[in-house]
Amino acid sequence: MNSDKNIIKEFLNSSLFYFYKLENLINEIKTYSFYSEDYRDLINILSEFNEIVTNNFRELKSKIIEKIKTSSPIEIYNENVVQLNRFNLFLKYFNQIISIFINAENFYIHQGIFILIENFTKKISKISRFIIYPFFPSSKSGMRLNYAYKNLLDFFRKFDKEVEKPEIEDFLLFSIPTLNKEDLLSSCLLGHEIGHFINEKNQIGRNITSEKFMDYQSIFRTNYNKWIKELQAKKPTLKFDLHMESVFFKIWFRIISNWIKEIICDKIGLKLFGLSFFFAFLDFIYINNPYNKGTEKHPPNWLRLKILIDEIQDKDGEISKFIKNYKIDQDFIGEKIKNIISFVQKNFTEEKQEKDEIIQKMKEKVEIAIVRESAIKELNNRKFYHKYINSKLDECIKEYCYKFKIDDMNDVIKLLDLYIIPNEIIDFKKKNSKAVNIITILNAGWLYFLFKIKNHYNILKNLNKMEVRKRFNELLLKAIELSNIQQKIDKILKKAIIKRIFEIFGENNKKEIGLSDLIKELKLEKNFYRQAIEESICELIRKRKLINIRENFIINLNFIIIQKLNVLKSSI
Amino acid sequence: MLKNSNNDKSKGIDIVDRLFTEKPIEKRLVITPLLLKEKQIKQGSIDLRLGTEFIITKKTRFSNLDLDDVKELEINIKNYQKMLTIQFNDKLVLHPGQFILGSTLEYLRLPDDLIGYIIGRSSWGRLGLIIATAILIHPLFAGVITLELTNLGEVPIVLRPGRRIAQISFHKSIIQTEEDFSAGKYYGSTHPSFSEIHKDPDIDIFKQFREKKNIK
Repeated sequence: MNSDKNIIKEFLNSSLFYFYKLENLINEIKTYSFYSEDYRDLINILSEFNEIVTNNFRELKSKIIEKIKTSSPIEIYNENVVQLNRFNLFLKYFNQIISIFINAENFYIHQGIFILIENFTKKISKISRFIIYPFFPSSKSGMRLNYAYKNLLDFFRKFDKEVEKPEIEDFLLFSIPTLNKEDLLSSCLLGHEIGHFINEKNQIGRNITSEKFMDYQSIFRTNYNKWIKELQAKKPTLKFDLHMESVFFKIWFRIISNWIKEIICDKIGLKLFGLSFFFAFLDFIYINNPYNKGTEKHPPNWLRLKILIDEIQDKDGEISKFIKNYKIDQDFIGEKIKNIISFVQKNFTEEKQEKDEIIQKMKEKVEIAIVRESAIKELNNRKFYHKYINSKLDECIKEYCYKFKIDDMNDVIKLLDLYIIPNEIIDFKKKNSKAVNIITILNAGWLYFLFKIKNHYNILKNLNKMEVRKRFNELLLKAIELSNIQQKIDKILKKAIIKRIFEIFGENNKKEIGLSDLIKELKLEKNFYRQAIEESICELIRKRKLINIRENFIINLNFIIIQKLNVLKSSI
Repeated sequence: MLKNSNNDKSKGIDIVDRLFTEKPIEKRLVITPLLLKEKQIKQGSIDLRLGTEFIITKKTRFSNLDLDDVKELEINIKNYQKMLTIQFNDKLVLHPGQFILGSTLEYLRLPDDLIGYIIGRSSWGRLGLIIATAILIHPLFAGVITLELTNLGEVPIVLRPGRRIAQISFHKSIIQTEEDFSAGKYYGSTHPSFSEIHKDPDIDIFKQFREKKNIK
C-alpha cells in the first residue's frame, strides 16, 4: 500500500520536474539571437501556457497528495486520470514545438530579410504569425510547427474554457535556405511560399481542381488507351489490367492537383514581387537544376518558366505592357529583358526536354510521363487559369500587388548608381521625403544588378567582384530596414497629428482654420509636416470621421481637402 | 538654417539647402533617413542616431593583436569580435569599461568639399559614454559611420537603436588632391565595420625595414 503511494508521489514529482525542464528550455530559446517579433510572440504564448499548466498541475498534485493520506491510491488515480492524461498530452505537444527549435541551427540573418517577410505576411493575415528560421533539416518542419501549435490550442480548449485563447491562430514557419539566408535578391522566391499561404487560406487550387475534375476524367479516359500503348511500345513487359485505370487516374489526378498548386504559387509570387520574382526564380533554376523534369509535387522547371513568361508577355509576345508599370526607360530595360526571355525560351523549351531520355525516367515515374503527354496542354491554356485565379487572387492581394508599389523605380535606380542607399526619395520642390516601398527596392535592385552593376565595380575598384556584390546586397538590405523604420515613424506621426486635430477641434469648437494655422497650432515645421497633415486629414475623410464633425467646425485646408470632401460627398 | 562659422550668408554652406536641392551629386550632401528633421537639424550640427547593428568583443585564446603579422591579424580581428543585431528601439546594455562598435542609423555621403566631424552629444558624455575616437570623415565618403562606444562611467548604460547619440558638424575642405577618386576601405559600409588595419599599405614597408635590421 505504502509502496503504491510512493509510486504515485514519484510519478507526480517527475512530471513536475518535466515542467521545470520546459521552463528552462523556453529560457534557453529566449537567449537565442532571433530577431523576428513573431518568434517572440510564440515564445511569450508558450511561456504563458507553461505557467498556467504548471500552476494547475501543482494544484492537482497537492490535491492528490492530500487524498493519498486518507484514501486508497487506486481510487485517487481513477479520479484524476483524465486530468493527468491531459497534462501528459500538454507535455507531448509542448515538447514537439520546443524540439523543432532546439534541433535547428542558429545563424546570423540580416533584419532586412525578416522585414521583407513580415511586411507581407502581417498584412495578408492578422491572425497568423510567421516564424522565420534560417535552416531546417526537414522541409516539413513548418507543417509540424503549425500542427503542434494547433494541438496545443485544442488542448487548452479542453483543459480550461476560461483560459483566454490567444488571438493568433497559426504559427507558420518559413525556412530560408542556408545559401540564401542573407541574399536579399534570391529571397524574392519567398513570394512563392507566401503564395502557398494564400492558396491554403483561399483554397484556390482545390477549387480549380474540383471544378475541373470531370474534365480531367474525360481527358484521362480518352487518352488512357493511347498512353498505355505508347508505354507498352517503349517497354513491352509492362502489362495493364482493367483495374489499373482507376489506380493510374488517382496518381494522375494527384500530380495534376499538386502541379496546379505550385503554379498558382508561382503566379502569386509574380503578382506580389513583379519582375524581381521572375529573376529570382531564373537565378534559382540556373544554380540548382536547370533540367529538372519535375517530381510528383513540383512541375518541371521549363513548364514553370514558360507559364511565368506567358504572364509577363502579351499575346503578341511583347513585354511592354508588363514593364509599363515600372515607369522606367522602357526601351533599354525592355530590350534587355526580352533578350533574357528569348535566351530562356531557347534553353528551356519543351522540345529540348523531349530529346532527353524520357524512357529512363518513365521506368521510375510513369505518372509524370502521362502528365507530360496531355495535361500540359491544359496547363498552358491561359484562359483556363485566369477564369479561376484572377478573380480570387485579386481579392487577396490587390492591395499588395507590385503594380502599386513601384512608382519611384527611376529615382531608386539613380540613387543606386550613385552608391546612395535607396531608402527614401526626396521631393526637392516640397523639401520633403518619403520612404521607398520594399517592392520598389527589390525590383530596382534586380534591374540594377542585372544591367548596371558594372558601375559599382568602377566605384569600388579596390574590391573584387564578389565583394562588390556582397556590398550591393548589404546596401539593399539596409535600405529595406531603414525604409521600414521610416514608414513606422511616419505612421506614428500621422496618428499623433490626427489625435491632435481632434483635441484642438473638439465637436463644440466652431473654428475656421487654414492649413498654415493648423501647422502653427500643431507647432510643426511647415515643410516637413505639410504632407503628413494632408495625408492624415485625407485618412480621416476616408474613414468618414471628419464628416461627422464637419458640421461643427470648418477646416478650410486649401483646395485638396475641399476636393476630397466633394469627392466623398458625391460618393455617399 | 545651418551656416558656417563666419556668418557670411553669401559664402556660407547651407546644409539644409544641400540636403534638399537638386544640385549635381558632387555638391550634394546626403544624410538618410532624417526621421524627425526638426529635432535632428540644429544650429551648427546635425544629430545622428544609433544604428541597429553592433560588433561586440569576445574572450579569445590569442595574446595580442600584432600589426606586423598581417595574416594572423586579419583572422584574429574577426575571431575577437562578433556581429550582433538589436531591433530598432530595443535595448543593449553597455557595462562600465566595456568596448563595442556600433554605427549610425543614418547613411551619409559627403561632397568633395566638405569634411565631417563626428562627436558625442554632451548629454550622453555626462553619463560617461564615449562614442568615437576617430572622428574625421573624409570628403566623398559614403556609408554609415562606425562608432567606438565605451562606457567610462560607474554604472551600466542602456543603449537603444534609434536614439540620438552623436552629432556631426561640417567644415569646408581646402585640401584637394588631383588624383582620381578611389573609394576607401570602409566606403559604402552599411553596418559597423571590423578594423581593416591589415590592409594599410605601409605595413609591409615597416615589416621589411624591421626584418632587414634583424638580419644585420
